[in-house]
Amino acid sequence: MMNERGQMAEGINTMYRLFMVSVVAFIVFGVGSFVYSYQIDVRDAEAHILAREIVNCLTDDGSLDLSGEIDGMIENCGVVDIERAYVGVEVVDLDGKEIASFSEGDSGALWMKDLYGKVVATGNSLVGTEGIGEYEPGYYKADYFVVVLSDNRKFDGKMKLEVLINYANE
Amino acid sequence: MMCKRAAVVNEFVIHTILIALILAVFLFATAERVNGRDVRQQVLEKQLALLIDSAETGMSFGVSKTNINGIIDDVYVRDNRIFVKVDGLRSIGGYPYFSKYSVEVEETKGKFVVKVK
Repeated sequence: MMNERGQMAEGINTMYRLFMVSVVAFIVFGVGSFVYSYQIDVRDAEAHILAREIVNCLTDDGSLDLSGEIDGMIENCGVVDIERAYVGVEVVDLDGKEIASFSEGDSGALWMKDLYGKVVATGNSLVGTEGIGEYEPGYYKADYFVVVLSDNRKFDGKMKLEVLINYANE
Repeated sequence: MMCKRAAVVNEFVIHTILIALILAVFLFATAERVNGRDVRQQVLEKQLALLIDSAETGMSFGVSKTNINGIIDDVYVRDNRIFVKVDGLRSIGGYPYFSKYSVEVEETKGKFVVKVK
């Protein structure tokens, strides 16, 4: 059994310890709140919208015309801020034989996408890791059946479209 | 004088209450951070950028000044970026859009109207 002075001393000691724990916790949370930035990722949605814009532009009348100059076809769509995006198009016939391939934008985004894919494949997923995961590009890939005009021929083919959107400086 | 069991129970109750109070303060601080002005500004800018990106020419959409995300003081576009000022917090970088159309913002009574031309 403790006497009253002993109980009071222990109470003060307890309060002191709790105070120190609170100080340390406040410092940790305070520093964390300055460093922590909340990111809402809409790049996948942007990639989806950009893909739709590119498809509407390239196949405006329902056919993909490859009889002219294919370099700059995507740039001619007039989409701004293409530096932040990468758009890759591969046109194949129904047997899978490549007819044409062209791209526009930052091909470094492909390297970033590959890097993240490899890291995820090894089991160390970076998804949701703040500060690193935010640099993973937004991604959309789709195949579209189109009528291809090439070398004075008209045939059914497939347009494989890949769109990546990089991190935006805010 | 208290018996030892009573002293232990007393100390346990005080500890529990204090720890619960500290946790509550941290939870409220975290909730405040997540619902902060900068996050609400980010939500509005990104929503507007996506709307502009997916809009066709001739479309327009209004942003009420008394919004669920706070009081909207200003909405403007510059260098293909949309900026929203929420609850007095000025936007530093805005958010980029890639629409090929020209975008304008008009202020009317009670709302901002974003026009895609």
